[in-house]
Amino acid sequence: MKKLLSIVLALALLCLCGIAAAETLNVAYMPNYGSLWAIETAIHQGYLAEEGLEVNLVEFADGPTIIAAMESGSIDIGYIGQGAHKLCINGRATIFALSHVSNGDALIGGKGITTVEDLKGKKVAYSSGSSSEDILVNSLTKYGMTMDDIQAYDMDASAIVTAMLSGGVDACATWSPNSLKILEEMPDATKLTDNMTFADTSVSLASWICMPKYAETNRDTLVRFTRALFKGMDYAADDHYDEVSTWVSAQTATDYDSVYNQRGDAEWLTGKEVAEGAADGTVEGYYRLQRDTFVANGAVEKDPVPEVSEYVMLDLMVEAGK
Amino acid sequence: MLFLLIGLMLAASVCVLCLRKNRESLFLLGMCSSVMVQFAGILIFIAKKGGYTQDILRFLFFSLDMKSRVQYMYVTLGQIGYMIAIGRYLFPLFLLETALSYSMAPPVRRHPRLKLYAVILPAVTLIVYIPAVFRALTDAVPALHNVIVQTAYLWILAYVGVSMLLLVQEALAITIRVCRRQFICVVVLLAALSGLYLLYCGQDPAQVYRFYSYDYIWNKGLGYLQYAPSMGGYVTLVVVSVICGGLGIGSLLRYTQNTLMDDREDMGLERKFDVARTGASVFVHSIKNQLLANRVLEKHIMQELDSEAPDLSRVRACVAQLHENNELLLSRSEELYRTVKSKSVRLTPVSLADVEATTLRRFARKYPDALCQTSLDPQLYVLADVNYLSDALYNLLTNGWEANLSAGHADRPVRLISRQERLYTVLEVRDEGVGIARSEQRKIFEPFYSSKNSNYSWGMGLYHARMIVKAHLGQLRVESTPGRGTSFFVMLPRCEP
Repeated sequence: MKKLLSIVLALALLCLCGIAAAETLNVAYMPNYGSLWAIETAIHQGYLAEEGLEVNLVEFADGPTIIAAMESGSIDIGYIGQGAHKLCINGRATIFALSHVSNGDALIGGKGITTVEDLKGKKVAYSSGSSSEDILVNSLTKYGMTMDDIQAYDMDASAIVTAMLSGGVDACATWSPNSLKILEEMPDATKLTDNMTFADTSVSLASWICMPKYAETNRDTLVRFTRALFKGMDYAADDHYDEVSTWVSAQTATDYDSVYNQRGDAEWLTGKEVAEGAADGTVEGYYRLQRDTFVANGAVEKDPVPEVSEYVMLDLMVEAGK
Repeated sequence: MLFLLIGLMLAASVCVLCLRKNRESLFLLGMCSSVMVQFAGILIFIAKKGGYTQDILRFLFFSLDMKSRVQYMYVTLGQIGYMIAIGRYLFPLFLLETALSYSMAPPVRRHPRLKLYAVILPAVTLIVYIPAVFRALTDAVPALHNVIVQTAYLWILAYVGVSMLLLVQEALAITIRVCRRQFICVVVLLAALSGLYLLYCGQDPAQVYRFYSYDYIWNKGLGYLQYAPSMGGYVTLVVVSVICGGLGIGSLLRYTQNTLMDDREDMGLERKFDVARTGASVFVHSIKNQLLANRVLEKHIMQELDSEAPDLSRVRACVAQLHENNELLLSRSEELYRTVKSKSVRLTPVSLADVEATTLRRFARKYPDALCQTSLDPQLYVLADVNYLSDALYNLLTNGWEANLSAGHADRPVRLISRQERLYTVLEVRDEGVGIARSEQRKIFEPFYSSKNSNYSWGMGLYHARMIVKAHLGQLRVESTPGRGTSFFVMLPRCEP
């Protein structure tokens, strides 16, 4: 009897320790496949639990908003797309993991607009500060134009869809799944450019970030979180699109098909590839190219321009991959 | 829920405007509308930007479907930001205009142009905050950015602070309890509205349309950039908002109720006035009964005179009774006639010394031995028809003295006092009688209402006095503490001779 009691007490103690050890993180995401593919897999495959982590997912419209929320102290970790990386270069946030190389951004022309040159004098919707602005500026620059050549309408991502479908604007720059939705519902719409258009000169990245102060004081948590993410990426990139789409559609309350169609939005890296890339300099090369593009566009204010290692925790990626 | 609270306040303020049709009600509507516009802008922004849990979103939007509708609204960030700016910069203006309008503080009264100057800062700020103007200015001179943001925040806080100071000072300056009570309702309403406003005004609206600017100083206030607040913080926010909203609605309802009651009382009196006309004919009929009684007295006299040895003392007694009845009937008829007949008053500046002299002459005629203490400022003037106004005061003094007598306080005087109170010159008639129960205070102004012996009181005195005061564009108010006495306040608009 005494033995049985001891075992029960020991088990109870273990359980209590387990519960006490579970750390809950507030994690910000955007409602798309690229933002959730790794974290949803890490949740459902139990990788986060293995690391003693629990997450509370909070939905946001875009990366800059996520950074604002982090600054207010209500979010620990967040996911950002290409545009918000300029805030990291300017010292507002620290990147601790690369998520994927994106191809989800697109510049789309409405009826009668089939080339970038056709945009001259037209109403173009975009979200300033985000990857939407990047692809718009890059596209205009490529064809010798500037923002002054168009009528730019600064909107949030949701309003861009409505504006485009209702004919309120002539063209728009946005990201997946909004870009896919517009192309699907507007037979007259034309994809003018996407990330691949600029593959030779720039790269569109998606990353996991936190506040610089959080990175300093919670390195162990970040390592464990990144380890779970990498495991999730390994699993998800291994042809598990169907399963991942089911989890993502449940989280975002959107239909399965629209999520599944986003599987072509990026080059889905495995955790192993990211860790190895961080070790051999490939990942640093991506971020350097990205930084140089922003510098060329005048989006970096810091002088001197910071080294990639100042705002990207490459060593953490290597450590998490071990 | 918050939106519902503000919506209710807005609806109530529209009602108040329809009822009162004055400038202060228009400002109140402006304040409610400003907060409503500001909140609408913030809610649209929240719907579009996310960062809130589903429970909070349901609380804010009633349903997630509604949230999605708002989220996909075709509106630019510039429009949302400017919507918030309009609410943010108009509220303090309306609040200050209200406070200036209510304030009787000498510096405010001496400088009526202050109301005009108060418009300058909000107008300039609203021009500067037009998204294109703001962008152009801050792009040209980046240092301006911080200056504009801080200046705007400072002046809105200053406007709210000064307004609340003026309102509180005014509330403390009012000495008449009923007036203070009503004014405190206004102050509580404005304080509650300001509380709601202050909770959410900390953040700069340009943050909405300059959101992605990397050099932006992101003020961390409560509201639309306070994402996923902690449960404790969120509960506090909701509780404070609901308290402010509830207080606001409560005060507004009470204020509206007071307004409605004043109007209804007048309507009631008008109706009772018609009843009074009808009552006059009934009265004439009842006079007939008294005349019939007089006929009996006359018969007694005739019988005595026709007898062989008339009892002259009995005849004299009957004659005396006849005489008394006749005088009573005459005075009653005159009083009724004076009350019921349509009349006009001719208002001219009259010094309180004249009013006092005429009133006391009449009062002394009725009660030569009554104790009456007056303290009227002879330097003050009111716009009045001295005969009518003195008649009203005479009625009040008579009531007061009779109240003193019935309380056994024949040794204590009835008082007539003057003072300046906000926009009014107040003439107070104070007695130390038994007082009037709260339930009775409404009825005493009704015609034919009297708590005294109806043979000698017709219950027309206070009705008559109130009609006279209203004809002088004034108000007649009563305050009474049972067992300690009653004060009637004749509040007449101030007059500078």
